[in-house]
Amino acid sequence: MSSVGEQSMLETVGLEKSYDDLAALEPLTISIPQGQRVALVGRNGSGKTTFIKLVVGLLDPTGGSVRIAGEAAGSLAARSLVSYISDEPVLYDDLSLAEHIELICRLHGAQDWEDRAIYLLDRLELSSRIDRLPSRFSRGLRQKTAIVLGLIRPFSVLIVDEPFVGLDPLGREVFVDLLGQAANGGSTLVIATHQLEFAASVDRCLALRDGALVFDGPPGQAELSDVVQ
Amino acid sequence: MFKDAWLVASKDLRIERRSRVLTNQLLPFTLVILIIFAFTFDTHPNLLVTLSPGLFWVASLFAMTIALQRSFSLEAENQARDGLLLYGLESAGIFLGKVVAIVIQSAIVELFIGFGIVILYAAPLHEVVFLALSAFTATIGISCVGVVFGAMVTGRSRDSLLPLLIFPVVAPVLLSATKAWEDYVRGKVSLGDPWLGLLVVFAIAFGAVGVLTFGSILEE
Repeated sequence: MSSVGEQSMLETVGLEKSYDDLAALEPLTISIPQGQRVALVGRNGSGKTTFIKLVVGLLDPTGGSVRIAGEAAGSLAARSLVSYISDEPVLYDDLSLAEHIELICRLHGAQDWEDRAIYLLDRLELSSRIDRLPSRFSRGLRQKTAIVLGLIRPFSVLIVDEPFVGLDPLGREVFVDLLGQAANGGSTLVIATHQLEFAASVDRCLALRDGALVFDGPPGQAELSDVVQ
Repeated sequence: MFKDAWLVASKDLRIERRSRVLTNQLLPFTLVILIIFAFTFDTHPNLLVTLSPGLFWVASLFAMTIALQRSFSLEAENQARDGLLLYGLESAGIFLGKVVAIVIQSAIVELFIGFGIVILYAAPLHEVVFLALSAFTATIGISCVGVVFGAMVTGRSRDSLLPLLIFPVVAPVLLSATKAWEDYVRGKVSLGDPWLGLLVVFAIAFGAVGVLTFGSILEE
C-alpha cells in the first residue's frame, strides 16, 4: 500500500453533468489526496467516463467544480499535471511510435526521457516496433502505445479509462506493475475499470450507478460486485 | 507560445512528409487546374497572361482549402483533437503552429503554380521579390482565416462548409493579392504599394483574431 499524502490532489465540489433532462453525473463532492490509488467502478453508462472527462477538462460541468492541485480542471496548469490514458488511444496515423514519444516528451518538456522510453518500450514489448506506425498496430498494441505515451510524460495525477481493454495477460500484469511504480513515486491514480480483481488492490473505491456515487471506501469485493454486475 | 507553435508545426509537417498529400494530391490537383485553364483559353493566349494573377490565386486557394481540411482531419482522426487539448498547449501556440504548417505547404504549392504559369501560359514575371512578398503576406492572411474556420467545422460532418466560410472572408485578400501582382507586372514597384499594405493589414488582423479566439473555438 502506497503512502498517501494529506494534500488534496483532486477535488470535486458539487460536480454534476447533465444533457437536457438526462443526468450523466449527479452532484459529486470528493477529495482524493496525493498518492492515493483510486478505482472508479460501475456498469456501462454509470458515469465513469463522464467523470473522467470532467476531471481532465474535456467536458464542462453543468454545475460544481473540479480542481487539480488547486487548479481549475481544463486550465493549462491542471492539464500539465494530469496524464490521461483513454480507452480509445489518441494517436496520429502517420507518426511512428518513436515520433509519438518524442512529440509527447517535447510538448511536456520532459527531461532525460530517452532512458525512460527504452524502459517502458521494453517492459511493454514494443522495442522492436519503435519505427512502425501505431495505426497499423493491433488493438492491444495500440493500447500499449497509449500506456507508454501516458507514462512517459511528467504527471502528478494519472487518469486511466478502462486500462485493460485489449491487453493480453502479460500486458495487464506489466501495466499493473507500472501503475504501482507511478503510485509509489507519489502520483495520484484514478482508474476506471470493470476488473474487480484490480479494484480490490487499490486504496479506495468509488462506485457509480446511474451517475450517482453509491460507494466510497476501501475496496470490498462483495459490495463492489453488487454495483458492477 | 512560440515553442508550442513550432512543435505543432513540426508535427504537422512531419505527418505531411510521411502521408505525401502535398506531392501526391495538391500538386497534381493544381497542375490539372492550370492545364484546364490553358486548354480553355488556348485560343486567347494574351487573355491567359492577363488572367494569370487571378488564376494563380484561384488555384492556390483551392489547394490551401484542401491542405486546411487535411490539417484538421488529422486532429479529428482517433480523437487527436482531444489529445491536442490535453497536451496543455497554449491555444495561441496551436493556432500559430497550424498557420505556420499551412503557410509552408502553401508556399511550396504556390511556387509550383508560379512555375506552371510561366511555363504553360508564357506569363512574364517581373519583380519576383515583390511578388513573393505579396504572395507570402496573402498566404498568411488566408491561412489565419482558414485555421480558425477549420477548427470550427472539420471532423464534425461539416467539412464541406469550410470553403463556403473561407471564400467570402478571404475575398478582399485575393483581390488585394491579384491587384498587387498586376501592379508589379506594370512596373509599379514599391514597398508602399497600397495593395501590399492592405495584405499586411489583413495578415495582422486575421492573425490577431485567430490568436484571441482559437482557444474557445478548440474547446467547443
